[in-house]
Amino acid sequence: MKCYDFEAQISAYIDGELKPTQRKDFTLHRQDCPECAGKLDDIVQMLQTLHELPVVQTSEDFMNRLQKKIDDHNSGKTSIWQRIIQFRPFGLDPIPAFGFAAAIVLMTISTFMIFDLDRPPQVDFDRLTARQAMLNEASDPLASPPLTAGATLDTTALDSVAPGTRPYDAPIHLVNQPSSP
Amino acid sequence: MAEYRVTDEELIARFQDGDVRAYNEIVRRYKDKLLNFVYRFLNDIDKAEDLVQDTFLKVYTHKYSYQEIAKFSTWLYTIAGNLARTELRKLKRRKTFSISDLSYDDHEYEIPMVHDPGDHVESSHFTRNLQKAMNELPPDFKTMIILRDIQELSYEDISRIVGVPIGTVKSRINRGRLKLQVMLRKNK
Repeated sequence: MKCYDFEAQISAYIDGELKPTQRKDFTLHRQDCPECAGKLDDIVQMLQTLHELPVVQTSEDFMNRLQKKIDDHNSGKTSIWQRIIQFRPFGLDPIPAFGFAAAIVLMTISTFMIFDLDRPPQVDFDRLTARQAMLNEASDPLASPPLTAGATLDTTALDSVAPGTRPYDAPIHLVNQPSSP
Repeated sequence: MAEYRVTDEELIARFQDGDVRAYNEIVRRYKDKLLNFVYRFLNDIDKAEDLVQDTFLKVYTHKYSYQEIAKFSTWLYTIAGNLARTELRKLKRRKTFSISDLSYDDHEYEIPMVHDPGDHVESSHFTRNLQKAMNELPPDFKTMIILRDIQELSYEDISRIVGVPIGTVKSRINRGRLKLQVMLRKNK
């Protein structure tokens, strides 16, 4: 065993955690290396002293001073920041409570943005009624062209074509619109 | 028949239900242990007492933060350790910038009077050197040595308090002890 390995195992040896073969090697090196043996003795003495360090005790007015701090807290003599971080809505810790509230707000905003719930769909009722009227009058329901407001359909071309045989490329003229080639 | 002792976890549960006497019992059980722990960080008995009171105040105001997935003592030591480290950083910054604190070192390594009048003040040369060497240890090593060799906590408890794996705890403790031994040899 080298000195480096011996040093690395000193605490394990003191705690009794070395395996039998490791312990044997450790003990042999200790016998052969005075410097490592000295290190181990120093550490053992050091640990004994640490265990025996004087035990300090709290002063006689410790409990009174602690009680005063608690009373100050209960009577509200705490800073605004302290009160914010100690606020517990519904008994939840502040961070999860604020996170929950933030999630609710984000979900609400997202829902409105996605579905646009505050704006109803816009419907052109005039166009719908005009279109429906035209469909009712025309013999071929597929012949209805897009209409501008106020325009009426000239069904002359349609009337000259037998039902079901109308060529789809036949020009359709609007009365109020110039005919387009 | 062995006397039944209410566990720390039962006490904090009762306190969470509103029993203030359970809180008083917690304070009585841990005030001296925590004082010894924090004092080894700060080497100032008054500041250490103040910090221990702040620890118990946090327990009072954040009692619902404790959940019984770890030992109550682990939670308590974690709070005290965090407060001690914060205070230590403040003290070190003040030492760097304040000329009036030049005399701070004069009483830094004093061993305090034990408040029990029946005990004697310990003042051996080796003990003074050991405390001085402890104060010069890097914070990570110092924390481990205090928790293991003074507070006598298990490796598992230390691992939970400090938040590192058990292997790291053992490694730091070993290296901390070796470092202390080297410093003590130099000061002999």
